Amino acid sequence: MCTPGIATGTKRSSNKTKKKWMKEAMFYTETPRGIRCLICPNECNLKEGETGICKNRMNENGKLWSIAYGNPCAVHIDPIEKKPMNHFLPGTKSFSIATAGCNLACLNCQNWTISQKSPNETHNYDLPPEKVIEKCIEHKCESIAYTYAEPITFYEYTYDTSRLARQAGIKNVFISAGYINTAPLKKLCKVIDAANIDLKSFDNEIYLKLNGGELQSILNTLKTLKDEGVWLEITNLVIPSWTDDADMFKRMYGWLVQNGFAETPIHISRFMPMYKLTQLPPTPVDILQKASKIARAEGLKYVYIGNVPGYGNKNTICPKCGKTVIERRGYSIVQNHIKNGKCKFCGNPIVGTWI
Amino acid sequence: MAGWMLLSGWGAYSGRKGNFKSITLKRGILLISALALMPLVLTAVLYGLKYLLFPPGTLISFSTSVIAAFLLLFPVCFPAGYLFTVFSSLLSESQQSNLIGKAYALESAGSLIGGLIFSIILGRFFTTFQIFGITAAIVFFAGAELIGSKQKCFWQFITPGIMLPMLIFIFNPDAFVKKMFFPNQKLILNQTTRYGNLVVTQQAGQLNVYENNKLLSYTQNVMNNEEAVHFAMVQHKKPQQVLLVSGEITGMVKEIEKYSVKNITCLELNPEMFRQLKKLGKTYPDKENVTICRSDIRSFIGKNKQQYDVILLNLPAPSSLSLNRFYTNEFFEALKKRCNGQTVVCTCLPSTENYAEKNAVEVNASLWKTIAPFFRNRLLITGTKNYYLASDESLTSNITEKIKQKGIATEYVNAYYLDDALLALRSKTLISRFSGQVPVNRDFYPFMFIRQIAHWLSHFGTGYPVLVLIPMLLFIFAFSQTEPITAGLFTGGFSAASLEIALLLAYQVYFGSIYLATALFFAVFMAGLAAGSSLPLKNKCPKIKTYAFVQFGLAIFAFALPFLIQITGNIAAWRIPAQLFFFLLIFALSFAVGYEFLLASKLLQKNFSETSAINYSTDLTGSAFGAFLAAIVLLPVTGLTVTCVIVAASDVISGWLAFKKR
Repeated sequence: MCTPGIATGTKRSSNKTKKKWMKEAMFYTETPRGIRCLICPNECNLKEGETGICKNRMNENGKLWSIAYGNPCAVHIDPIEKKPMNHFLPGTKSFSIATAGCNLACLNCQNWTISQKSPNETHNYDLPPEKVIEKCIEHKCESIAYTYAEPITFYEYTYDTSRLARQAGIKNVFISAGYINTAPLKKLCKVIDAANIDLKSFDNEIYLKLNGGELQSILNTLKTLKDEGVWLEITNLVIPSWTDDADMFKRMYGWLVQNGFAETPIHISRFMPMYKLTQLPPTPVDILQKASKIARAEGLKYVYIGNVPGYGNKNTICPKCGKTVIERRGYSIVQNHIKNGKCKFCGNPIVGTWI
Repeated sequence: MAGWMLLSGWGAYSGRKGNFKSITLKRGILLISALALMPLVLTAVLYGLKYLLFPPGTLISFSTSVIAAFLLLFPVCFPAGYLFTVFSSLLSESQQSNLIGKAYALESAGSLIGGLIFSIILGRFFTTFQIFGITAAIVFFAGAELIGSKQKCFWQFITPGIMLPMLIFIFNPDAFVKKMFFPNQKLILNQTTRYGNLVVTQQAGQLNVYENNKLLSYTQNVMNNEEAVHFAMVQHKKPQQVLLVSGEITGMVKEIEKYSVKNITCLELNPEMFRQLKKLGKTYPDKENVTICRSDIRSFIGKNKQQYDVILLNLPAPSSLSLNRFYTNEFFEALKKRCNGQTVVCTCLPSTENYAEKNAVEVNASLWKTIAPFFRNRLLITGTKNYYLASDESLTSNITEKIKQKGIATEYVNAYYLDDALLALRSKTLISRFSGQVPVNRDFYPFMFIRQIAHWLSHFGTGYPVLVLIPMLLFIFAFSQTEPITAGLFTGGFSAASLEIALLLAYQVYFGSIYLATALFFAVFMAGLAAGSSLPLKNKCPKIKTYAFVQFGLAIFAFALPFLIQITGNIAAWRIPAQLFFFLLIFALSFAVGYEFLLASKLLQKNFSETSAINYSTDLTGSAFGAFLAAIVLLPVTGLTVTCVIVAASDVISGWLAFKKR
């Protein structure tokens, strides 16, 4: 089966065909029980034949395998702003790929038909790293985004593709929930250029109940990305009655400022009813605006509201002179007053990767 | 429904060896009174447990729902079934004659009265707790009447009968429960309508509308409002007459008005929503060019003669049989009559923007195929929903270009947000996965509904085959345990429930919503049972041949039902005669089943309690299988005709077994 213009469909019906997309995983160790995967804080201890929580990494013949290498289920071209990334190559397109599987289980996942499934259950495409680069160039995309589900679970595919992309002068964008161990993240940082990490809440219990993870690992990820020099933007999805508490906004944004993320763009994003939270209404816009005010008051310099067309907070404002340096409409740039990474009006540096 | 029947059957069966001589009138009334209180207590427990165990706004898994339903129904249904055996045995023993059929008739008559009171008064004007409070009070008063005012315990029944509803009306537990389940939201409306319970909440300027506790729509949804309107509106050269099916409340009228249309006709899934929200001043202000129709959507499209330039359908996915009727071949056929040569129709399904799971692909493919015969051109646009456009005129996916040409001011549907080429690419990707083999979705073969159910089950990792195979195997096992008399009751119950579900489906298709009509259906069904089981018998011991012929009669009825339903459909425009004919069919069906029960109670040569227990439980078990299998498996997978043939076959088999024994 052929998907018009992008990739060729595949079938994972037999063991032979499944093996085609298996690649030995990078971070694991042997244990008396079998194998412990060391890619994320779940650290699944897998017996022979078992698959990890992420459904994407499997113990077979005493080795850990990534089972959807070069076999993504979602392949699209998106504006980079949709990721969302506002300070990284604005106005460009990103070749976006994902395989099935995720190491979290967010009740509100907007891509649950991918993230909560195994690659054996999804409709996939034959797209090894070299082909990704080829397609990316063919479709004139400036970057490759590892996105939709969780690129941590297809780490090897992300890593190898990123390495090749770098050689071809293409940027790599890591869109993730950030639930990853430090060692694999540090290795990945050597080949990726930018990341958007979801900071879903600032409460460990909510992280456990809503997402099946824990907060500290995400905070560690943010720090590591910053230390390793990867361009970082943060998304904070506000879910009514779960993560819309003003005190929590204050603590979260306060922590970011105290830990050196004052200049990191933050996207305060609107929740829409999805997956297992379909009985909750979307986040009222007023609550998002309240959160953005708190963020600014705490000292964050680049605060955006996401998922709400027609409301403010889309433009980039120079933190020094207060003038609009990038005027946006939707995913497009109407006016750009950044020259050589600086505000054209006052010369203040505006952080980001600009064209 | 299936759980209720199974548990009642279990309760009845467990009373088969009972000695009920110690049960006096007072004790009997006390037992019934305790039973009448149970729904009130269990509803409170249900809400409490849901609040404690499940976070707000979360879907509850299928297995949890099934377990919870059984656990919560058990304290009501099991004793209710047991009490049937108790009272029918006591009645027979007191007269030294087999009066189980009479007990069945009386029980059915009680259900009939209950059904009527619910559909005429309780279901329309009262909330859940109030309904249970009132019904409990009625039972208390009836108990007091039976005891007599001279007895000491008379006031023990009268006092709670007065106090209970009073306390419920004063403290209004429903309002408390609603507050609990809609945290941080201001409850501005909680109204029972004949289409369902309507709740409207407000949160920071945003209105959220829930029907029967399901989120139906909300305001401040710019993306959806614009996509749903402009994708279709830009296709038409000069739209003048627009039909908007659901979306007035969320603000779509404002978007349509950007095209200087002459008239916008608005319909809602729950037409009462207009009236209720208008009272609160939350709908679009009265305008000359906006016509609000408080009518069932399907009936409106069938009856109305107006033709429209653009028809916008913004309905939820076909996740129920009542929603499926807006995505069928028959629906589009009727809709086509409201179209002129240039009309653009737009309907939608949930988004598969980034990835389409296999059930979602089949749902989308079926809709794509279903609309094909009626329009020369079709177009799929994947946005925040999957929009299906259809017209006899050409359609374009260059939406943003058209918007610009027409000079329509939008926040989201424009070149700043959307890339026409990328939209087209995503649509192509999805269409390339559509199989030509997928069936057309029909009223009586609701393929989209069953795939939507499978898609819903995949939220919890439950496969549809599990849902089908286990009950099927249990059905075969249960049937194999019967002997000729009970086999007839089993298939009779199975037929009654299956065909009632088929009739309910047909009712929705032809006459619209069934929220309160269900109670009327139930009442007519019970009336038939009561009448059938009260027929005077010429002989004390009827012939088994008669019993077999009743089953053959049921088989003929099942076999003829698709044709009878078709006749109803043909005369549906004459609403009253058509509905009368419909209810006549239900009455005829249940009359036969009631009569069958009466015959079986005379034919089964056992003592009173055993006869009562075995017959009642067999009848209910058959009904439970019928209700479940018809709704979840037979109708969706095989369609109406095959379902009726299967039901007829089951009656022929059991009838033949009885005939052989004559």
